[in-house]
Amino acid sequence: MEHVLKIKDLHVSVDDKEILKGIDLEVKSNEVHALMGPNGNGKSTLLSAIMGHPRYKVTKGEILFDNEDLLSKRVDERSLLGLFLAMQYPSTISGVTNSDFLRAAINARNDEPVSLFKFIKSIEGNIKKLHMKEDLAHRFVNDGFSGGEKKRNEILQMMMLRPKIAMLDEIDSGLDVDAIKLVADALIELKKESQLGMIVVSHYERFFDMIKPTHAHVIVDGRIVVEGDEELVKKIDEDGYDWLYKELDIKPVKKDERPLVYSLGVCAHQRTI
Amino acid sequence: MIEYQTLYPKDAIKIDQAGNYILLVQGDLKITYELAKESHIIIINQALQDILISEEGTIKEGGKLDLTYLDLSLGTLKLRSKIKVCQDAELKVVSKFLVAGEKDIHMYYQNTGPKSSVLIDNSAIVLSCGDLILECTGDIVKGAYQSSSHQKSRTLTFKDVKRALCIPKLLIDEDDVEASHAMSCGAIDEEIMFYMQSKGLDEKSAMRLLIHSYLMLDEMVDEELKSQLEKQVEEICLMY
Repeated sequence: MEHVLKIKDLHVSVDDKEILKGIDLEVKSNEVHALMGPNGNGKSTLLSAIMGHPRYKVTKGEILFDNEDLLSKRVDERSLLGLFLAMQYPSTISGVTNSDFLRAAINARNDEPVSLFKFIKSIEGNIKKLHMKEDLAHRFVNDGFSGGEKKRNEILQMMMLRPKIAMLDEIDSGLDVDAIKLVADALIELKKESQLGMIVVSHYERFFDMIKPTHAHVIVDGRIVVEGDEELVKKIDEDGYDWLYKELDIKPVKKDERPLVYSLGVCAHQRTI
Repeated sequence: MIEYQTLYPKDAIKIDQAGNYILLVQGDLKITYELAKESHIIIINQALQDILISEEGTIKEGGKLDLTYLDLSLGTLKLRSKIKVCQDAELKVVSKFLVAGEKDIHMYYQNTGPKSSVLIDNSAIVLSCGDLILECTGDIVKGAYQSSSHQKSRTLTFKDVKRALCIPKLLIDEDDVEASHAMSCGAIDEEIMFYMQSKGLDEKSAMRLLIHSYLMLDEMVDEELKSQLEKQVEEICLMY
């Protein structure tokens, strides 16, 4: 069965500031959409808004998954429908093991709890495929993980949860050359096995070259300003974005420059007993 | 020797496979002890009503005490704990409180002799309408040189708590000592909840996993007790 994620005229604000200003996008099973653009122009916002992050307020537009309205659904309901977000900065959950976390996530998808034997076999196989440390299942989620380990852990979760459409936010950053190849291979295998559709945010042509995007989109100032295929990815890798700004007479959003405020805190010492 | 007084006959001390003293508290409890050997006491509040636990202890020269408090009860708890740690003695305290009602906890641990050691690790989860005061004092008196007193408190708060007040205190009257305190108190990180939910866990399942992680019930040695406490956590999660 083919699955379709459809985004229509999406406007999203964060803290009353409009970040996305009308995005239209359609992603189907088996398609790989490269999402590019300068930093701070809306790529991660788009993925977070699709997943339903509470900070990102949709002010206008629609998100449909297999013709179901996603905006009325909770974050976990979107996940259970088949969406997956591999985050740029995955959270650390001290005290919760990867094994408990993943089993809970798998059980949320099934009427019957997954058998321990089946689960262990599956997680051990996938850990091996991703060349991760054997004790990963017993370690706390992302606690003490290197940047690369966190990214691989996201892919491990994806392999275990088997989504229909995956959104990968700079999954290749923090990975060394060998690890990028491993992750790319895992994505290709998943696509082959389950007709996975993907939206992939990356700044590196090398990664795109491995996973072969079928579509490419460039977001500047909250709008998709140009679309194409793998050739567009190559052109941006070679020429950057300046030609686009000139050709379309647009300017990218520059990240706010805010002063950093440090506090050393307060320490009090008083004998009261 | 451990002595305890209570109005409720159901209270019991049982000794688990690892040789730990386990006090299953059903009502007001007064406990006093002087220990000279290595001991482990686990105090578990199972009372359904409001109670007062009052504890006074001395760890004599060379003695060692591992003390665990576990409280998942829904009622009001007043806990007053005062322990003296003599020369070359060690005290290690681990506490876990699930706060749905009112918990007023005052812990006072005093290094009275040289080379004594106190290490405290407090964890609390304050649920909606919960009211927590957790004051923990480490006191190193004059003459208790080369002693140490370290404490950390972690408090996690859910929505609409009444109060979550943590007061770590260090009173130090000796120069040649080591002492520290660390404290965190705050709501569940929105990003962590989003992360967990984005992988398919609903709010309750995410909360259950977080509570388990805070209380670290997996570390309980007594299997029967562990499953009883897990069931209690489940029941509490269902209420919220």
